[in-house]
Order: sequence, then structure tokens, then C-alpha cells
Amino acid sequence: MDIQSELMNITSEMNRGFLQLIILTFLDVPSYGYDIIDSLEKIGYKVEENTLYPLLRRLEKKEVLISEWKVVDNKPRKYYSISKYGKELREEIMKIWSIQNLILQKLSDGRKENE
Amino acid sequence: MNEKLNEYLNQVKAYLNTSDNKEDIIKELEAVVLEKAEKKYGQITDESISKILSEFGSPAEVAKEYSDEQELIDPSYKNYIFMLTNTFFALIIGINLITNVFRISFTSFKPENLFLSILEIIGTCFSTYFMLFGIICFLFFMLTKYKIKNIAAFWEYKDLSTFLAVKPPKVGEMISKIIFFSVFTLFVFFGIDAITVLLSKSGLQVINISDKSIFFAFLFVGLFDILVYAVKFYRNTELLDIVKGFFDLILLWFATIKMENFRITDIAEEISKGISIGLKVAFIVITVLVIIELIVSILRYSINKTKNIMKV
Repeated sequence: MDIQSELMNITSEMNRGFLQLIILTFLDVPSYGYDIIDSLEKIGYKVEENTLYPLLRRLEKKEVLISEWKVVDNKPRKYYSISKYGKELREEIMKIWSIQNLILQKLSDGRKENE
Repeated sequence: MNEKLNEYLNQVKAYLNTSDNKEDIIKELEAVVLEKAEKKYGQITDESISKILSEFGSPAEVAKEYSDEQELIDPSYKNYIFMLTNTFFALIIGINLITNVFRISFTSFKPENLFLSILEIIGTCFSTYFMLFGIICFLFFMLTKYKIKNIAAFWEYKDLSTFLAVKPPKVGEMISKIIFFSVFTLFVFFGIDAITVLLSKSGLQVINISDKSIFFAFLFVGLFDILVYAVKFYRNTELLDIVKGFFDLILLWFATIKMENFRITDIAEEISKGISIGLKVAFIVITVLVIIELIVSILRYSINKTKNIMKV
């Protein structure tokens, strides 16, 4: 099996949840799509427009995010920010993520001891 | 708004299959493209917008990302389902009609029950249409499942695209069609009876008509066509031509069934044969013309809906 294509599949699956967590963390301060993409790219996380915008809308539909149209520098922009419900959800996801991290760490340590 | 961007957004909107607010999605996409074009290339020009749009991918792909769930049939195929089902339906009705024309015998009298004739046509139309719809849906389901794309590449042929482009109605052509169908309708209404009476008086009972429903069929064709051409002055849509085409075909089909009630008598066998062949040829020519016009209308209607897909 081609390792690169398999790696792409796994990365894509892992990114799906990871991107949501990133968005929920990033949007403590209201921001618009282009700014989110640009800011994430600057810290080494590349996300496609076609992935981000539909995701923002889906999260908004689930009331995890709230949005507001604003005109800044004569340009209409849709600003997204995390809702109260989104913040509660983020806390829970962070707990799960921490537990997963811990399990992985324990497994990794156990493997090293056996080696 | 930039023309290319406007066209792109219209296509995305056409493909969107979501319960979300489509206008808002389009508004956001527009803002994103313009902002990115300006930030990445310094200014908003046709060129910078084109580059950004090519990075975004095809309108169908973008719309798919916003769609609620994976469809059994890709939304980009919806116009083809309509186009193919109706085209094959028109062809099948046409074949039925022509077969009926060949079956007509002007020398023997086979009375057809009006109610049964109508029932037969309705039954055949329904079963044929749904059978075709099912087969074509299955075909597109398979195409979606196996991700076979770009089946519409033939739209790219410039000549075909020009030929099928929707043109504004020509006033002269419309008026002449209305006059033609008015004369045709008046002839059907008054002419046939007058000729029959005239021939009876001269001792020749050339055509024996025992059921006049066939004339009503022709009368309906004429009146409906006048109505359609009149409406086209206000609203020119290929959908009207499609409805007119199917209506004409079904009434012609009905007419061929009722033709069994015609008898050509009291004249020499050769003349009788000549009249019979003449009538059949006239029927077939009219049918073929109606089918061609109908299929062109169906293709024009579908191309009008899908014509921009391949452009971007």
C-alpha cells in the first residue's frame, strides 16, 4: 500500500476534528474567513477556503458559532465568534483531547519501557 | 459586480443543495473572492478574480462542500435527468405515433372507443415516462457512485452551443405562426365539413366520417399553438415550447387512433391508395417535424440551465 496516500487519508480524518477545535479556540475574538486562513497559515496550519467556509456555516447552524455582517474599509465581511454554547462544547472537547493525549502518552511510555 | 464572478456565483447557487440561506452563502463567497483578489494580487481585476476562482475549483465542487449531505445523484446531473427523460419520451411517443400511422387502413372500418383511446394514451404515457425516469436516474446514480464526471463535454462544441442558444422571439415569425395556426384551426372547424358536404352533393362520398373527435384533436392543436405563440410575446421560455410539443404529439397520437374511423369510398382503388399514402406521409412529416422541434426545445432549455458549467 502507498504510504503517502494512506497518510493523506489519516491526516484528513485527524484534521477534521482538529480544525473544529482550532476554530473554536481561535474565535474567542470575532474574525472573518480570510483573516482566519491568513492567521492560521502564519502559525503553520494551512486550511483551504472550500473547507473552512462550509465548516464555519455548519458550526453556526449548530449554534456553536455566531456571525454578524460588518462593513470594514468599504468591504462587507462576515465576522464569526464563538457562542456561549460553543465555549461549553470547547471545554468538553478539550477534556476529551487531554484524555486522548494522556492515553497516547502512557502507551508510548509503556512501549519504550518494553523496548 | 465583475461579470465572471457573477456568473461563477450564479452557478454555485444553482448547484447548492442545502437548507442553509443560499443568498448568504453567495454573499460571503463574493466577499471572500474580492478580498482575496485584492490582498493577493494588489487589486481587483478580471485577471486577479479569474486566478482566485481557478484556485477555488469548479462551482459544482464548491457547492458540494456547502451541501447538507452526500446525494444519491450528484446535483450537477439534475438537468441531464430532465433532458434525457424528456428526449427519449418524445422519441418513444413519436415512434408510437408513426407505428399507428402505418397501421391505419382507410378501407376497413374499425370503430375505436373514445374513452379507451384516451385511457390507452394516458396509461402508455405514464408507464413510459416513469420507466424512462427510473432508468435514467439509475444511470446517474451509477455515474455518481463511480464518480464519472464531465459527461457534458459536448456542450463545449461551439457550433452546437450556438445552435442551441436561446434566442429572443422574432416578431414576424411569431405572427406568421399565429396566422398559420389560425387558418389551420378555421379550416379544421369549417373546411372539412364544407368539403364533405360538397363532395356528397357531387355524388362522391370520398371520406366517411363517423367520429368527429379527431377534428377536435386538430382544433385543440391549432388553438393551443396559437395560445403558446401569443404567450411567448410576454414570456419567452423554452418550457412553453416543450409543453406545446408534448401536447401536439399526444393529440396527433390520438388523431392517428381515431383515423381508423375514416373510410375512403366510392372512388377508384388507385386514387384511394394515393389519398391514403398522401395522408400517411403528411402525418409522418408533421410528426417528425414536431419531434425535432420538441427535442431542440428540450436541449435548449437544458443547455440554458447548464451552459455555464463548462465555461469556468
